[in-house]
Amino acid sequence: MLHYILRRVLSTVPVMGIVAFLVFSLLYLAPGDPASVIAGEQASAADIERIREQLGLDRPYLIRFGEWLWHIMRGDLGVSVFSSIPVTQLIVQRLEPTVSLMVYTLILSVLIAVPMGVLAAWKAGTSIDRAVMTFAVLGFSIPVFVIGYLLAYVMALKLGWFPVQGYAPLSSGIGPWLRSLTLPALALSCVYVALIARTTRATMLEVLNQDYIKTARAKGLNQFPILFHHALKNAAVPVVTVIGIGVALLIGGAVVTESVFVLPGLGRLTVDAILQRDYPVIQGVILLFSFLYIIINLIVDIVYTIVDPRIRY
Amino acid sequence: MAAHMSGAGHEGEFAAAPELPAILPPVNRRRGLAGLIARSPGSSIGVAILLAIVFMAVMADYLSAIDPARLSPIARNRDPSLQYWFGTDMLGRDLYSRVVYGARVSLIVGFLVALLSTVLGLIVGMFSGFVRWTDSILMRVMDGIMSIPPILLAIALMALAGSSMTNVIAAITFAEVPRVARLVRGVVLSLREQAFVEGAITAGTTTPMIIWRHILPNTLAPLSVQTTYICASAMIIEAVLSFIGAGTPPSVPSWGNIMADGRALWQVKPHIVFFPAVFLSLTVLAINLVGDSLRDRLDPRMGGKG
Amino acid sequence: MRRRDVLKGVALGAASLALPKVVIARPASVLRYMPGADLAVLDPLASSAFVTCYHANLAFDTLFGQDTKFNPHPQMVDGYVVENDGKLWRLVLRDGLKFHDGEPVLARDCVASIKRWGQADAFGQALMAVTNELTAASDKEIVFRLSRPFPLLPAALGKSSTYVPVIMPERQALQSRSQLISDPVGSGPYRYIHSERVPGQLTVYEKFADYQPRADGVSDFTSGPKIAHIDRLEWRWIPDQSTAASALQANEIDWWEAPLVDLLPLLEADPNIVIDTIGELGDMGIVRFNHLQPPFDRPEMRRAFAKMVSQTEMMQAMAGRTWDDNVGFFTPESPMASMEGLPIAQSEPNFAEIKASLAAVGYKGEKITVLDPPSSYRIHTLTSMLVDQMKRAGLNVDVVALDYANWAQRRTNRDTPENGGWNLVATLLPGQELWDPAGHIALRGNGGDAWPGWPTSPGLESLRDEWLQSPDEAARADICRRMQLQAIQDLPYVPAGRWTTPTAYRKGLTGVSRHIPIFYNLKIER
Repeated sequence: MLHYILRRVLSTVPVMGIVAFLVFSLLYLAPGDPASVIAGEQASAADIERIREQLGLDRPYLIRFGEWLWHIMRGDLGVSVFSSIPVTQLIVQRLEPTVSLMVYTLILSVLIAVPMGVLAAWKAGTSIDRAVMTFAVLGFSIPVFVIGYLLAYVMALKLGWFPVQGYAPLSSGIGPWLRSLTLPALALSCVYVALIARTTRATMLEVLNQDYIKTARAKGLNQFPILFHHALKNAAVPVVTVIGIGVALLIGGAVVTESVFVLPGLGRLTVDAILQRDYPVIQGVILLFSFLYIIINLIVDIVYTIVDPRIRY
Repeated sequence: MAAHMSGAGHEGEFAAAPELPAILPPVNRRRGLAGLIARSPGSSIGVAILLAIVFMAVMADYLSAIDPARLSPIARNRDPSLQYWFGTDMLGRDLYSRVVYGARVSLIVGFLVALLSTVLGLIVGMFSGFVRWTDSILMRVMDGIMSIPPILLAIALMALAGSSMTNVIAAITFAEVPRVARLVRGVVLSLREQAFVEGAITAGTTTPMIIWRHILPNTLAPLSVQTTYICASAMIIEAVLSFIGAGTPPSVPSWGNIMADGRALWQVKPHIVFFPAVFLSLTVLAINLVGDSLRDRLDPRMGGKG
Repeated sequence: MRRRDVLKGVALGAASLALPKVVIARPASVLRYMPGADLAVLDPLASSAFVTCYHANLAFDTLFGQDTKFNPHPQMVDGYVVENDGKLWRLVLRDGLKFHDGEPVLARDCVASIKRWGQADAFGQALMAVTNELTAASDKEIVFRLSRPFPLLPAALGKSSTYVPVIMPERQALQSRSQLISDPVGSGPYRYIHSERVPGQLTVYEKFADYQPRADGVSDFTSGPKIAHIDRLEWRWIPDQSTAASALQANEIDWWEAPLVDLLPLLEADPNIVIDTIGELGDMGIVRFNHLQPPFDRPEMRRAFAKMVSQTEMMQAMAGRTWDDNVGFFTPESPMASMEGLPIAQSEPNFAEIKASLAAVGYKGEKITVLDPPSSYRIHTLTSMLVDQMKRAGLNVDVVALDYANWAQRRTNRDTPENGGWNLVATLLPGQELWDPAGHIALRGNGGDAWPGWPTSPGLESLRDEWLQSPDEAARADICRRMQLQAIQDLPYVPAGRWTTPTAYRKGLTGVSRHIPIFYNLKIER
């Protein structure tokens, strides 16, 4: 077991290497570089060439890759081409809104979705089940920005319950912080509620079909303890798994949500950086996201092996 | 949107999780869609919507009288009327025609991405599952691709390749392949442990034969479910890419582009976003419904319920 | 990066996140302004983006200022003398000028700053071309020795449009121009606060306590006393138009520089919002040929093509607050503008005729590559309309959609379209910059050194030289009439109309400048 875990941990190293290579090469090959964006509308070709040289964009591929790799190993993600602010600092600046949004969304999703899924499984085949499943399918089907605009229109503009946009940092108090995050979290959670509710329902159904539960139900034992003690406990692993995977993938959904609600988070940072061709920022942030994902994946994998020794790698 | 894919990805994790019953019941491949419709109202609705959208896409030339690309600057931002059924956008283009033609784009992107990523993922997954020495390399590469949030990966690829429909399809496919590959590999790995496969291996059956007889039929169930989800997810990702400004070229009337054009006017002219959003949501919904009932029928663990 | 640096980064990041709270003594007055584009570049000479130009006018001061009619007046300069038949200029700085880091502004700072600007700006290059010597005679006195008279010197050193001749400390001005200045130090009434900057999101300026406004003159645009009434300015960038409209309505921002015209009904319905067209000179549409590649390397092809560009249609599509068709090469309000040679195209062109005339000058259905940045709404609208017209004229159009970064880069590629070049782009320049030939980059004919499109027109160049040396306005206006006729012959570009975009702010904001947003002399009441 330990041997496996160690191997699994070590195996993340080449993955990180592949990601680094992918990210760097992708941007190296991409046409359009930051020099022309910096120079702006009225710049001449000479202006742009001058900036290119200054930024070192005219040097060969391998030299730039090697240099870049060497720097990241030492924790230096470089400096933004536009703002000259270190990428690490930019990331730290943007970390709080994104992490807040993700955690809030996750809590909200679990609080809504798990009871929904349990209920649907318990009442499988009834209209309650159908309603929950219909909601789940809708959650998958409506684009997050449409939900976002709808929520902003109704709950912020018409009803005035929440701010339309912007982010209030935690330091400005729990109240404003929650208020500023509620709409984006609601919009983003739709899809996760759908995902988690379905998973919960599916695994619950499976557990409920097992003989000991069937027997318990047949004996007329109190239903709720059965539901929560036995069934949910057994269904927990897949549900936790989906939540774990969800965390890493929340990042992708956050990009759009942060755009709609103007949250100064990592998603916005990345999209802005991609549109401006701010290479060091793009590379840094994508690398960070990948690292997060890999770590979470690693933990999930290890948990799998511990929970179920039948899996052999 | 990534969430949606995580839904799909997650199904993969499930199939990989060793929850399969000791002996898988044989999958009856001849049951097909026709049988499903009769038994499942959800899928009937899904299939009906889907057929209507496909009809719209195929007959677009006959369903709309106005060229979807033609600008009419004096008729900007018209509300829906008899002349312009869905109104016009900021450049005075007829929204009804654009939405009708948009069905083509969404369907092509959805179906092609589903097909391509399934085929590629199947190949990678099989290799990984059977040719063991390739496993760690392939899976690390897959992990590497998968560890970049798909939306970001697609945006980055689009920036690299320039906006065209082919590139959108390629970018989304690139992001989806690992999910299929992992699913297939998971199924292969669990099946290899099963008595009937071990028996076949002991009996000296060739690997292609094992794949054909035992693996493929059992992969088909989770895979076909996965494929429908990928199809739905690809449509949403296409819309998101266009929404961010990195999707199909603006000259192509895709639903994502129409929404991107209208997003700035959401408060004053909500119909510009509304019409394509409804059509996109309906199409994705239809595909998801079909996928769900496929899963309910094909996944033995779900048997009978729901 | 060393570990300490990382920690420092963390601490800094945390500090800036916490700041809005720490500064609870929310200064008596704060203005929350949303610019028309994200302020990506803070170095005033590194980017020609309009928003960088506004930033330059805000955080820096200039030797001369401009009134609303663009007449120059001394600003940092106390006074000046012109000797030696206009070939020797002595500029004397006024007292009490200080940089935001507390250092006094000296003549040598100004000399270094002007030299830096003289490399970047077209007007500056013209000035530098006749400058034999630019020196600091003392801490207060700047001396220009010219090879020939340059009567527009105050106008050049007082321009408020791109690139603004800002005065910065010598140490920053001496940096290589390719070394972007990311923590600019100016000497204007507002100080840029580097510690609060969140790129892509927030830029903060605070009233500079040590600024001494001019004692004389009238506050008008960038001339006269610059008084900072508001304590703190927050430039907040909201990338989504719809969200920005909501934010203005919900009192989350005070001023939205450039709302989409189609959103105006929404804002007008709100009694707390004022719609004000400050940029009366508006923006001017430009259809730019690539003069290095066929078919538009030939003037007769350009002339046949130009008949197709209906300004009326272009402007209907752009749907500005107000718009003009039938405009020429200069801003209609400028004394330099005339109707000479207009219209270039009819408002409803006869496309059959144009098709025939294009064929007559040798167009054989060659593919014409047009670059289109869909994310940039205004350029995209012009481009879309142009492409529609081209299709009606039977041209073989290849539209290449690119994001803005790619568009900006590909536009500088002189190669054939197959090798990453282009044939046509549609774009725009502010009316203020097309006011006269001094800053009119699209009307140059200096070939490879010109703005992308690279037209060669000795006629336009010699007229421009003549203009720069003309002593009086009547003569200059006459030269501009001839320039327009020359331009209609050579067609460095086709004018595509002029439109204005209003600005929207909440009631209580007074003293809003004309032309471009200027933040001093502005008052806010809540």
